[in-house]
Amino acid sequence: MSFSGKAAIAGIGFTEFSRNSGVTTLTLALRAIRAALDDAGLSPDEVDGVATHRVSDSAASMTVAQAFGIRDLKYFIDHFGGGGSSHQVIGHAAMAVTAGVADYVVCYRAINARSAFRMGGTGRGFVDSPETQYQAPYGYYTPPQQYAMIARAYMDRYGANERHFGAVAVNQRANALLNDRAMMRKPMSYEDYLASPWIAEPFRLPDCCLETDVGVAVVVCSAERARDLRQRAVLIDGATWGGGATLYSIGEPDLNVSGARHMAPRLYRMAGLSPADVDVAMLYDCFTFAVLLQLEDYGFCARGEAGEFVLSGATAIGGTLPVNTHGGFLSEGYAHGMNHVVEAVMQLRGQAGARQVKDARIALSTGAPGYVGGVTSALLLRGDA
Amino acid sequence: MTQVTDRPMLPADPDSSPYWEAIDRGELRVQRCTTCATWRWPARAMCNHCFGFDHDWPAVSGKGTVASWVRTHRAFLPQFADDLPYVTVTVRLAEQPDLLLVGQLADSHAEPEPEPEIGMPVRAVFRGVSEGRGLVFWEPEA
Repeated sequence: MSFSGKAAIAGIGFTEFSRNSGVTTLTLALRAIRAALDDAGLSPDEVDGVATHRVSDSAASMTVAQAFGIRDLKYFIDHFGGGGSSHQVIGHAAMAVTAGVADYVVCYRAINARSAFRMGGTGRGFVDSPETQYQAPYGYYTPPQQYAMIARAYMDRYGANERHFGAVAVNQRANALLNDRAMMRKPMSYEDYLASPWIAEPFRLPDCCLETDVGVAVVVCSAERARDLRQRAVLIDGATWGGGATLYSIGEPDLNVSGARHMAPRLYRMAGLSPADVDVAMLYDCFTFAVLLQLEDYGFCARGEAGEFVLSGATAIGGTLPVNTHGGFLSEGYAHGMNHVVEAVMQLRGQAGARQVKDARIALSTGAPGYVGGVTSALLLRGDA
Repeated sequence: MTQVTDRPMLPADPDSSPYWEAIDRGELRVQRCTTCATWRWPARAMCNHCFGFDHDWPAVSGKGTVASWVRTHRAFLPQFADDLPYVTVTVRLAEQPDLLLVGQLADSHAEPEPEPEIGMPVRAVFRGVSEGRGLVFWEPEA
C-alpha cells in the first residue's frame, strides 16, 4: 500500500533567519511550530506527533513534546542525521498519519548553526564518522572540502567550470532579492562572484551555503483533515529516502554517482510523475555544485549538461524549471533542508508573491544528495485542486 | 621517517589499529577479505561483497592514481593555519578501483601548492608526525 497522495502538509512556520538568534534551539523549535500551527488554523493541543532530525545540535522531539504539555504522544521520531535526512522526517510523518498512528505531526528543524555549532566546520570538533580518523590528519573533514573533492572530479570529467557554478549562485541571489526572509539581500553579479575569496577550491564563498540560526516547521496530517483546515492542502505524492554508498564504503568507484541518482526513479514512480511534470524544484544547495548534480540526478538534463542548462536561464523564475526560488541555502539561509519544503509549499499555494512561479502545481524538494553520509531523501508535492 | 608538522591524530579503534600500526612502521597495509579477496578501507569487521568476517592485512603496492583533489584556503582547524592553502588528494589504489584513500602530496610547500592532475600516478611515502606516529603521503611517480 502506498501512502502517495494520502497525506498533506497543512501548515508552515519559521523564525527569523539570523547569524545569532540569542535563544536556544528549543525556543526556535517552539516558535516555528506555533507559527506552523497558526498557519494551518490548528490549536496546539491537537498535536499528537513530533518529528525531527539532528546531529546532536538541537532540542529533541521529546523535549518539544513536553514543552507542549502532551501527555499521550502517539508518534515521535528523533532521527540522527543531517541534510540527507531532512525530507525523510516528513516522509515518516506522512506514513504515520496515513497509517492512523497519529493525526497531526509537527516536523521541525531548529539550529544555531552559526552562533553555536558551525555547520561548515570552522572551529568545531570532529564529527563521529567512520572516516574521520583517516581524514583529520590531513586537515580534511568539513563539508565544503568533501563536496569540493567531488566537484573537482566532475569538472575534470565533464568540462564544467566556474561559469556554471557562478550561474547557480547568481541566479539564487536574484531570487533572494524577492524574498523578505532571505539573509542575503545585496545583489550579486557574476563579477562579484569571481572576486569573492576561495574557501575550498573549486568553491568560493558564494558557492557555499550560509550558516544560520533558525527554526522551521511544517504540520503533516491526512489529506482529508488538511482539506478542513485554513490553507490549501499540499499533498505528499512522493516521499522516498535511502541511498547507501559513500566514496569510502567500497562498491562505488565513480566519484560522480550520488544516492539521489539511485533513488530518483523510485520517487517519480511512487508519485506517478516524471521530471517533465515538475513545475518548480527546491534542490539541496549546500554548495552550488550540488544543484548541478541533482539537475542531472533527478532527470532534468543529461550527465554533464547541468551547467549549460543553468546558464541558459532555464532555472530562473520564468524559466522552464525555476530552482530555489527563495534563494536557497546559498542566499535565503540554511535550515538544513526544511526551508526548501516551506518554499515549495508557498509556491504550490500561490503565496510566493514576487517570486511566484505561474501555475505551479507540482514541486520537487530534495535533501542532501548523499555523497558524504550516503543518505538522501526527497518529496514530490502537489497543490490540491 | 622524515618529520613533518604536527597533525591531529585521532585514536585508532580495534578495527583500524592494524592499519595505523603498519603505517607507524612505514608500511601501507590494507584490510582484505580472505574469502573473496575484496579490499576494504576504512577497516571494518565484515566484507560488504561476500559478507565474510575473515580477513588479513596484506601490504599493498603503494601505487595509485589521483582520483580528485581540493585546495583548502580556510583554517577550519587551527593546526593548519600556517599551511594555507594546502592540497588534499583522493588516491585510487592500484589494487581495486573502488579503494579510495584520502591523503596529501608529500613535501609540497610551494605557494600555492602545485595542482595535481586527475589520473596522475602516485606512490606512497611515509612521514613521521607527533609522538612516534607515522602518516602516509603521496609522491608523483617519476
